[in-house]
Amino acid sequence: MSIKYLALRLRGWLQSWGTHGTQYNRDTGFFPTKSAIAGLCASALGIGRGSPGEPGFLEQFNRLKMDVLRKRKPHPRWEGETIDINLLSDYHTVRDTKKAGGGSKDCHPYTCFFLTDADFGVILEGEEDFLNRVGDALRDPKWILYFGRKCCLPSGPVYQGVYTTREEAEREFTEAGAGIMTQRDTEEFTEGNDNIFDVPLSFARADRRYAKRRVYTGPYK
Amino acid sequence: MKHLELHILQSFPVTCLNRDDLGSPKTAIFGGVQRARVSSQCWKSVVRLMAREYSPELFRGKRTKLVVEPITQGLIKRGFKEEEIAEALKDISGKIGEIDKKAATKLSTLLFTTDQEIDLICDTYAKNRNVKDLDKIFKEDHYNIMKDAADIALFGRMVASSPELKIEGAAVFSHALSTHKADNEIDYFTAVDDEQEEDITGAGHIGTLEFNSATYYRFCAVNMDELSDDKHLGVMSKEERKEVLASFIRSVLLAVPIARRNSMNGNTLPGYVLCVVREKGHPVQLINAFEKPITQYKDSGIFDRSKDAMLTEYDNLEKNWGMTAALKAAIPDISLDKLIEKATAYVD
Repeated sequence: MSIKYLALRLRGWLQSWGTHGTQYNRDTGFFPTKSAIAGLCASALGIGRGSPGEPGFLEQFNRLKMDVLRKRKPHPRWEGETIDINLLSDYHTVRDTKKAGGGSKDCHPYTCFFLTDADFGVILEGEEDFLNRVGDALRDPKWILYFGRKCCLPSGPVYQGVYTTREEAEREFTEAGAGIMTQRDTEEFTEGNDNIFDVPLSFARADRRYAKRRVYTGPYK
Repeated sequence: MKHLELHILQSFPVTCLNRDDLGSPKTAIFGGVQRARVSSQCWKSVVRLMAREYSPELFRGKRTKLVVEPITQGLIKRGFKEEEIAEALKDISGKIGEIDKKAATKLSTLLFTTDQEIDLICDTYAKNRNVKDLDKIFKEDHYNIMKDAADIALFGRMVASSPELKIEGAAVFSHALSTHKADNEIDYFTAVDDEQEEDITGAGHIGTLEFNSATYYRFCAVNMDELSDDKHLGVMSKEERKEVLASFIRSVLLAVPIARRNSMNGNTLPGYVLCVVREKGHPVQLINAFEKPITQYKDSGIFDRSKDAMLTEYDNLEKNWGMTAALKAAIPDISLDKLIEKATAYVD
């Protein structure tokens, strides 16, 4: 069994990678989470939340090392300049919601957050067979692929390719040069600088659980 | 996944189709500049209601709290007495949502449901004297409720009290975004008091309203495989599914958000519609055509240049990524009816 690299490209003007709350403030992180990428791949394979196929899939998926690269997009008008991601907040109201203590509330405002102008490369490192299976599914997925929320749709194919080296898999992203930010799984604790609780153990609605991973977040080097 | 994509360019004059908490038209930064925006849920709700007008028999889903009366009637029809019904309602509301404490005729939350589903609930209760099995019945016999609920299949639903009742919608909508840089403007207005004495000057009321005008790129896609599977409209005949898709396309193209309809009337029609069906792959929007904001140039206006940019982006995706289409048809090259006829030929 050989190790390969599956590269995904997340290009879409609107993206939202929630890291915790789902009620009042539906936030987004500045990188896609591991659980989001697991969900994207599971969706391509047609594995539903809490379905019988989920535990086996997650067990294999969580063995993958994930490396996310965020590229600055070229400025649409000024040559040589680049633009950074933006945070968009979207105000909504829901009528007639339930309150925790029983009873209902007439109008419940909430805010959704999105990233605009984001362009991510995601490189998954792991066993060839599993990556080929996921890659094939991403090329012709069972369900529609979206970036965190159903209105966040891709503006290019998600699947980029399966490569034999990390350099090849990253090339599309690192060629551009300056301004690349990365968030990647680290093997040694000392290589990392942050802990994130986004490794999905179960997506079942009544039993959603996450584990911790150690990551390096910062400029690409 | 076989899927259908609709890429729509539509220009609106002075409008405020969708506003935020301060009453300003919604905006977003894209390509580093501000754009006008209409959220997906705003446009979806008008599409859903219009589709019901075209195919009332197939789009029977309703979002309502008023289900207590239909359930009561259903139980009376099945021979239940008044005192038994109170108990039944208590049991049933555990599944579909709590009954409002102030008004016993409604639920405290909206339920997206259909008459057939209510029949199924009554049947289940009449048979078992409880609705414990409802989750299982929905899981196994899901399609029974979809005979007349194309709207639930297309738009999806979530029921907080019963995860099993959740249905993933087969259609997706992007937020509509202007192809060009757009600023919100302020309309200062005064209202005259009709009965005011002539020698008194001054307005009866003054105020301001925000608006913008924009050419929007709108995108919507349908997972055609999912639409005809067992969890969605597998129970319908092929002809019925074709009608569902026809009414859906028509509504997506014709429905316009109702905000400020009287004062600003933004009832326009799409200027250009590109309809694509692909046998494989996943829906991809053409929004990157407008990452560099469209500007006027010489004789061609924003709309024409948006159209050119969109078609160039389509060609790029086709050439660079091998995204071949089974169907590529456009309005105004062909009429709306013809486009619908071509698209629905791909319904399984």
